[in-house]
Amino acid sequence: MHPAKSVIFFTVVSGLGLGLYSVGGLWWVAGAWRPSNSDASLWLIMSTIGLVAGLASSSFHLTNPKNAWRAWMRVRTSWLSREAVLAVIVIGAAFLLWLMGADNGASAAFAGLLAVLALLTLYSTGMIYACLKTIRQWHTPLTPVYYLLAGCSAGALAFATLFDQAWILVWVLLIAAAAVKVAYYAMIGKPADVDLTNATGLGGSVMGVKLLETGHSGSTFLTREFGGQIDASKLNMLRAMVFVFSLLLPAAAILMGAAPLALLLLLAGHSVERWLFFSEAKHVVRLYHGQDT
Amino acid sequence: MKLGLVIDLDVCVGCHGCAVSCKQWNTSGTTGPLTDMNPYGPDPEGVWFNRIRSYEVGNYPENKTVNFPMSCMHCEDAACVDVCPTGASYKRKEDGIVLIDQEKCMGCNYCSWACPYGARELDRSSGTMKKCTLCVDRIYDDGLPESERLPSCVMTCPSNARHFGDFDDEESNVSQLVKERGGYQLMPELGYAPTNRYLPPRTREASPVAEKIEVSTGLLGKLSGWMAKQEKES
Repeated sequence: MHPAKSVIFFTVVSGLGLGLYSVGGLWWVAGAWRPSNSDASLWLIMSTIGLVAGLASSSFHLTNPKNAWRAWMRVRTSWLSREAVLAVIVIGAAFLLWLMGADNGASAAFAGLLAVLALLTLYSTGMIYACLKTIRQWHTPLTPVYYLLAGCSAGALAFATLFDQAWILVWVLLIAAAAVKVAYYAMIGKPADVDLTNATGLGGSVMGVKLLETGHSGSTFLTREFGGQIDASKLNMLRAMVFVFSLLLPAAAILMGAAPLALLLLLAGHSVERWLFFSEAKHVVRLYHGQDT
Repeated sequence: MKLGLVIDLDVCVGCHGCAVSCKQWNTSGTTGPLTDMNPYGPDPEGVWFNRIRSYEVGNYPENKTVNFPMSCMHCEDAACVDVCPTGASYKRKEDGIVLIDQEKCMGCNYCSWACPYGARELDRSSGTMKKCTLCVDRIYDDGLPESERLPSCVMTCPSNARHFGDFDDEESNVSQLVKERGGYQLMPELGYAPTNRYLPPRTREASPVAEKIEVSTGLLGKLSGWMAKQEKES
């Protein structure tokens, strides 16, 4: 799949914003954090900046953005629509909580509700990809699980950086996200169970089908969107970078007391991870062009 | 009604006539234009609703070229429609045709990711997704003679490899062809229940490439062998 920069930025930065809502809200409702009015405002504003920056970036990926408002119309069937609606509800809920202030008796419960909504939004982002049966590298429960862990680990690190709280959660989430990524790379390494022979329905198992020609002389929408291939010699290095930047270097920076640097390194790690998530995904239509899936 | 196409892989000659005629008709049709980018430059590309690939099945001398046109399958359970966040993609209840409302599409590409058949292509000039309409602007047009109320590709095909009809009607030409020739769906395991069916190439003896001339000993055998050789060479 073509790795669109706007979508990579969108999922990483909105993941950070949604993770920050989630971790702060859960820490508050659990009674582990009793924010002052100004702390609560800072938390809500930073989370909202992340989410809104991500959403704005996602609109750059649209080729007809004047219809972007219509993306809320199909929540019954479309995860993309669900994510768009939930994101707006989250921003609305954050605004209400900001109006309520930290002293209100219901604020903690409302912060908990905000966290649940933010987690649902993150889950929807993951499900946008995981629901596609056409892309086996995405069609796995590990996809939404990783989106939740990646967003929440960045959110927890941002929360810990801002308020010096919840460091234990940072460590747990960073390690859990890396562990899920290891399982994910093992899963997508398995060979595909379809090939050109089944895809065309020609020949049965004995004959074998080969591509003679694709029928076009130049590139097409299909080759641009689905035809990409990572240089195999660089794949291991890129995967190693995912773990170095989203676990090892942030951990070292945290231990050295440079929390803001750790967050930047983690976001760089998530960007590499997201670039690979797209680039390694092989759509089934590639079979008809004689490529693998 | 469940309208769709039957494509006969046995007789398709791979002339691309269906794709060219589709482009000609639809560029001024309901989802037109089918924009070409850089059409006279070194790397032209454009929007097509139908693309033809060619495959080789089997190994020499039992091999065969199979030309393979693919366009929207007008799936009964169309994933492209389900994933569309704007409601631009829809499936018509009355005849099962899957269409894209160009006024509503925001160009997010998501439907093209959901389609396993590569049927949807983004038009970079309009910013909207485009696909086969089954020539919805021909098949119901009372202004055309009844014999021409067919998708453009079906009208054009010179080898009669393309057939259009109602799969809900067991007596229709398409239902009969599927029954007689074992028409099949592409990637049915994905569960999208594509309407279009493909008729498999008929199996034939391998094409003769060199005939063996029997030469037997004895005068009569030599004579008949020599005669067979002369006959072959003349």
